[in-house]
Amino acid sequence: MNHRWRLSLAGLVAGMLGFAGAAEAQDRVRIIDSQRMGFAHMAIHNAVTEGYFKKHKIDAEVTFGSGGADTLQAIVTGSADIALGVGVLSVIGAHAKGAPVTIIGNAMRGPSDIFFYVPAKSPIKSLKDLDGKELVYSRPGSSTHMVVQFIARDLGIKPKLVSVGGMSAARTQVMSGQVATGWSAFPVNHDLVRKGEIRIIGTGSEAKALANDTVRVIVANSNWVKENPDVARRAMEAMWEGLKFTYEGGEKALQSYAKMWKLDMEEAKAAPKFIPFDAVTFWPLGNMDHVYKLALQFKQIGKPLTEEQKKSLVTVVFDPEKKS
Amino acid sequence: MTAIAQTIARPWTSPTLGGITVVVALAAILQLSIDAGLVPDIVVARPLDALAAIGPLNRDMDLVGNFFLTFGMTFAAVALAIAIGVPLGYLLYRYDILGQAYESWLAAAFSAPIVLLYPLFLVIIGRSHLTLVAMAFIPCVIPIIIQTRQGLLSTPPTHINVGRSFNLSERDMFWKIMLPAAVPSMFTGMRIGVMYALVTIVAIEYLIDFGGLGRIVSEMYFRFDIPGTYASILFVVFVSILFYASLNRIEKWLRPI
Amino acid sequence: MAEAHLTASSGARAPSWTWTPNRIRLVTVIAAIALWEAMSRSGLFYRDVMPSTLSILMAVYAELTSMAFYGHLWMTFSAVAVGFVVGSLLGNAAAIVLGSRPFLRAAAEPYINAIGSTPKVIFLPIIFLIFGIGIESKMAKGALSGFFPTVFSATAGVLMMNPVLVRVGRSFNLTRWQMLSKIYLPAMVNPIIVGLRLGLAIVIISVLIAELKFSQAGLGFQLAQYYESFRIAPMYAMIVIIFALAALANWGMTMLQQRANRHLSAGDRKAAVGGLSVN
Repeated sequence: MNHRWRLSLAGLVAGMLGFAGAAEAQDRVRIIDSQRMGFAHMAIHNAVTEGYFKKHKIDAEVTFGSGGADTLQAIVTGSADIALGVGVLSVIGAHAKGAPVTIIGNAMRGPSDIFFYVPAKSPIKSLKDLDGKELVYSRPGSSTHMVVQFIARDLGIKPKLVSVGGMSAARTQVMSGQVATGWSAFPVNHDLVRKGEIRIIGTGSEAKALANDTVRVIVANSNWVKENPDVARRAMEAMWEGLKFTYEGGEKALQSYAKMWKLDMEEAKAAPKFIPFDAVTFWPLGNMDHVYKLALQFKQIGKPLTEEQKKSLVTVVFDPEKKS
Repeated sequence: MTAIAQTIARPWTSPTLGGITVVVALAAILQLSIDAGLVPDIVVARPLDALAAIGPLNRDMDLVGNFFLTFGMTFAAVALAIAIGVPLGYLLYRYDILGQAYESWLAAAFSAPIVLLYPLFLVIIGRSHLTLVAMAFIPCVIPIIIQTRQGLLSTPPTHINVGRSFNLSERDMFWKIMLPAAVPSMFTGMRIGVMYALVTIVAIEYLIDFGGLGRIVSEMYFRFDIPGTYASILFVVFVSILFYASLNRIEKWLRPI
Repeated sequence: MAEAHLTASSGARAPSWTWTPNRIRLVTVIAAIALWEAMSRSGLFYRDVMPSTLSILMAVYAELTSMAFYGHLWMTFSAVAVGFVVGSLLGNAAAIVLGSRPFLRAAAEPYINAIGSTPKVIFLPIIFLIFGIGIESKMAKGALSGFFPTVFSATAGVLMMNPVLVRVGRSFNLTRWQMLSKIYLPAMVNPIIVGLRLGLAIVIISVLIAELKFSQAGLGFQLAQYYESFRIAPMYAMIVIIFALAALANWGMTMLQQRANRHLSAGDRKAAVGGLSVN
């Protein structure tokens, strides 16, 4: 009698432990996608729909953020664990001030997804025609602000640099004739290009100095990474598979992109041209020495980073090259 | 009471001093909490750090000059809103049918995210500070209209009867009885209006570069300069206090009771 | 009525058209649509930024007939409802405290005004710390924002109360709760409702803006989506729908207000002094 009691009790306990183990098998990770409609950001959404997160036992909770400082604040306060697409300069600035943030991968090297355009009937043919005319950017301190300053320098032109706000505001102002040019980031307004209503006169690639710089990164809360290195690794691995699917998944991948953001398939097909796979691989971080100099120049940091700071700034939780 | 006891008791007898004492006490508690690590300093600035950031910020980004810019635009929006809102509020009171028709709609219009429509305003009004004034005008005028109407409607019947017993004309009735009775309500509307005019101006300055305190707040926040963010917001608070004190003065002058 | 009878008997025709609030609203809507169409077609403005009324109406229809819309609506509605209730309760409670204690009011009011004018962006990190970035943070932001118009209107309401009422209550030795329910609240009905109208509007904007920044769903999320992809007609459609819902809520408050004022005599109802008028 005693023997059977003990066996059943042991069985019950084992069963409960097993059940508890199974219930905990999925680790919750809160991810912020801070660039709606970003083609490479489909890495996250494809990782959800194609089951990569599930495969790696990650329960991904995805929120959409609107970029920049707010997204970073969410990471800093621990309200989210990983954010994709935050400006690298903001992250450096925050890290230098002691915020618990760390870069766990590159999100975009070079600003090739940004393009500048004019209305179809405008006499302006290229960026070089912009002496004395308005070259627009979103707001002071933004990446577009940086890009236009480098374009002006690299092309040797003297445009009027004007802040116009977001892409929709830019479009409204340029099409109403208030400013000579508009700015946009793919895929927004690309349909107008196809329809012939606007003409692209240059892209961010014309800022040669920035061509290989990492401009946006994948950032994580450093305390979370320290306490959950395995979870972080698995989440990144799932997103890597999602990224590969985005670029190698053919029609299916393009269709899921078009469907999610209600885009024309033509837009989806043009995406890899504006955002090439080489620009969005997780490693390496591009030209960081130049990026550090930019951080100093644009006053994100007051003095150059120490070696200690540079080391803690970046944490490699997952590197696809090192995967066996 | 002895002189010393009176001095010690002073903060607690004057509301202004009492308020300031409490604020200073809270700031001290905050400073100590951050120093003790209870509150992360990457989220909330130490009050002393924020104060220390004012000087450099002024040199760097002309904090004081931008203070006047924001104040000026807010003032223009508020002045316009009062000049138009009070008569409109009166109109909605005088023609009650209009008041009944529009009061709900005005309140509902208050909830429209005007700030989002800034590109539209830029296009219609032009790329100038006038657009900010126009956009701040809308959330400022609505509470003023509603509260003016409400104030006129709330004139105590006793007062009206007193006026009648003196055989006051319609005009005198309005200027001597109804308007003074409506003053508290009108000024409440103005206080609410000022709040949202300022919030709108700073919000647009935050979004697009027209100078002003919002621009500084945005830059500091972007740079993750938390003491700088709080320092510039302190100046926004100064703008609000300036308006608030002025409105109080004017209200006291109009209605000494 | 008597007038009509008189003019009828003297051979003149009685007026057959009278204005009612609803007719005024109808005429206003028609005029607004006409103005909008005129501006839209004038060619003065970038055509995409002022779409025709028809396209906006079609977008409204498309929105209202999509299942996804109701999911978004529910998200935003929940956040607004909770934020509004919490913000209004706190605002009115604070107003009663401040209104009845002049010292506190003089000391605190400048700071309440100051915090109300502060860009809420600095509260965001604190809200995130406490509430995370989910729907709770939007409720919190809504409550925070909705507090301010409520407290101002209601405080003014307390101040405008007839002091006799308070003394009557005290002379009956009413308990605190009885003072509240029998003296203060009935006297403050109208200022409170004005505060609620403005407060609701602010809670709605505040939740929408919070959703613009961080969300997985909600009307603000959808609005941001349309805005960023420059789908202007659906964007306006959203704004129209939000306006209509807010107007509906305000209509509800008007009904409430009329009910609360019904114990006043007909003449007093117009001069809504709020509560027992000492005549």
